[in-house]
Amino acid sequence: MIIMAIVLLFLIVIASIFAPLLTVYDPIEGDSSQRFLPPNKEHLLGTDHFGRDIFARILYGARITLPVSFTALFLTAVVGVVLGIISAMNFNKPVDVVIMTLVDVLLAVPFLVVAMAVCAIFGRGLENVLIVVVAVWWAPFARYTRSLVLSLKNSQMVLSAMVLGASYPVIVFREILPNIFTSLFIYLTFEFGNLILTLSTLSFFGMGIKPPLPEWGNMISDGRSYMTQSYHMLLWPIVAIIITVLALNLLGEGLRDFSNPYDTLATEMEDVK
Amino acid sequence: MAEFFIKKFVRMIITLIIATFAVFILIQNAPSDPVTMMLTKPDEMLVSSDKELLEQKIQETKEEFGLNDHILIQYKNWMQNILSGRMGKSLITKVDIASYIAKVLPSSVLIALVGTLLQLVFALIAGVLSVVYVSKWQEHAIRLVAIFLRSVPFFAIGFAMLMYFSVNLKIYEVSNSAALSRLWLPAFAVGITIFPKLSRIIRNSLLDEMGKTYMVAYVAKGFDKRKLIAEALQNTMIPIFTTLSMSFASSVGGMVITERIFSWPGIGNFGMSSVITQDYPAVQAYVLVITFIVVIVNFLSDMLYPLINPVVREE
Repeated sequence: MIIMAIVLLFLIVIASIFAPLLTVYDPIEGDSSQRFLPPNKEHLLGTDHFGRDIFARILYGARITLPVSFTALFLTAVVGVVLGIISAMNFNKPVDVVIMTLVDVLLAVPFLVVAMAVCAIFGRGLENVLIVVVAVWWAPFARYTRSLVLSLKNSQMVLSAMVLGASYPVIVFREILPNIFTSLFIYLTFEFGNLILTLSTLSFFGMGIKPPLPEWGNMISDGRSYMTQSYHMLLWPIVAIIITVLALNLLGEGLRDFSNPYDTLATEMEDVK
Repeated sequence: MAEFFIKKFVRMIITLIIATFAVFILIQNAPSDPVTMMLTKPDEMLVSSDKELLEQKIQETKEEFGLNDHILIQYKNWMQNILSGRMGKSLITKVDIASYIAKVLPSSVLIALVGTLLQLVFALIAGVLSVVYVSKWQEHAIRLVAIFLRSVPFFAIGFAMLMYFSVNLKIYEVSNSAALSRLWLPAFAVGITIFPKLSRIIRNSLLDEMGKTYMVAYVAKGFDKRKLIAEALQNTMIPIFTTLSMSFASSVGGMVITERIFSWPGIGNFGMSSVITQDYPAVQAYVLVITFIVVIVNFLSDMLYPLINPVVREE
């Protein structure tokens, strides 16, 4: 499963990087005489309402969706993990309580609501969306990191490091981080998929990346308007999103299987008829 | 016990205060100044003497409306208004916001409730089947389906279902009423897309239970698989309950996409419309109501928690 996922992801990334080589069509300028063509030899997936090649738009769309989602993920993760570690290392002290109350507040409101409200007030550009994402999505990361670190905090190795006189930074970087890295990485993989879904949902509703930039979410929104004339405009961006997020989820699941031995319990169940 | 309640209650109040203050500050930064909008006509050309008069009038009006007070006093007044139900009028439709929200909120609650119930049903089926067929191909099939469902953007699935059931099969009515007959499809769509998370929790909890000592006793007594799973399920109620309540809490206001796609007149749809039309009082009211609901529902489920978890009850 992991291998399949890694291959898929690799192909997607390569395709997006080499987009200009894989297709001759421009994703933004269109040829109006070629509107709404179904897939044919020249246009692999057909054309849209401006005559732009859909396959080209999907490839170039990857160049927008992937880096933006990755940036959002990276920033959010850094903030969340750092705050989570700080919170856990100062367990039950004021810092921890403050951070956790903040996390509770941020987890209380559904993200879409906050994003919509911010976009209503400050405008619908991509910068605002990214700011909202980082400002809100660090909370689940912090909570998860904190629980991971807390479970490690009273373990033998950390306690012995403390007894030996290691200072906090040393403990964090040499004892804790290496041990939470796997679980964090798996969590990040899943969240990357969720971020791609959320960002494309937001751009579907007109917030974030707007047409004519070929982002998969706003391509779906356009496709909805012209659904009767060409369902291909609608279908292929959805397929692109599904394949990308599916690859990420498979990667996460595969890694999770690899690091979580649940097999012993399974064999016990099999003995019972 | 009392200490448990008090701690949770205080936590809830603090969360509410922080959240509402954040919303208040957010709205204060809205680009348009209501007093200027009130006193000037658009495209009006002002002579300099008029401008001085206008400035004076603006200041007077601000005093009158209390807009020059300290921000904390403004916040206090605002909260008092909100809590007594005066949320202002919509900028666009001129309708009283509070009464409109009161009208549409039950529809959202209804769809959230049914969606959560369906999610539970699907997750139980998937989770239990995963355990019954653990390590066999059926479990892997269920798992792949679950992973696939988590990879699809919700608006795609919802929209596809809407199209299929209303246009192709013609058994679903496309209108914007909150009729009970229209409830099943959006609730089904929501349940189908959300259940994987809960089903995984159920599966893992069940497997955890299977490895415990009392299970050995039951096996020795000769219970068959079905009875064992039933016994184990009783002990997994706690994680199921906490997950479900959180899911329900955020569903009520978070089902914006669902309500939008299926034209369901709920509070999510209202929120989205006010965002699109930049109707600031409505947006503010929407975020506030949602925040209140989520925090209060979480608090209530925290209150109910000792009922299902005897360990906490003893403390």
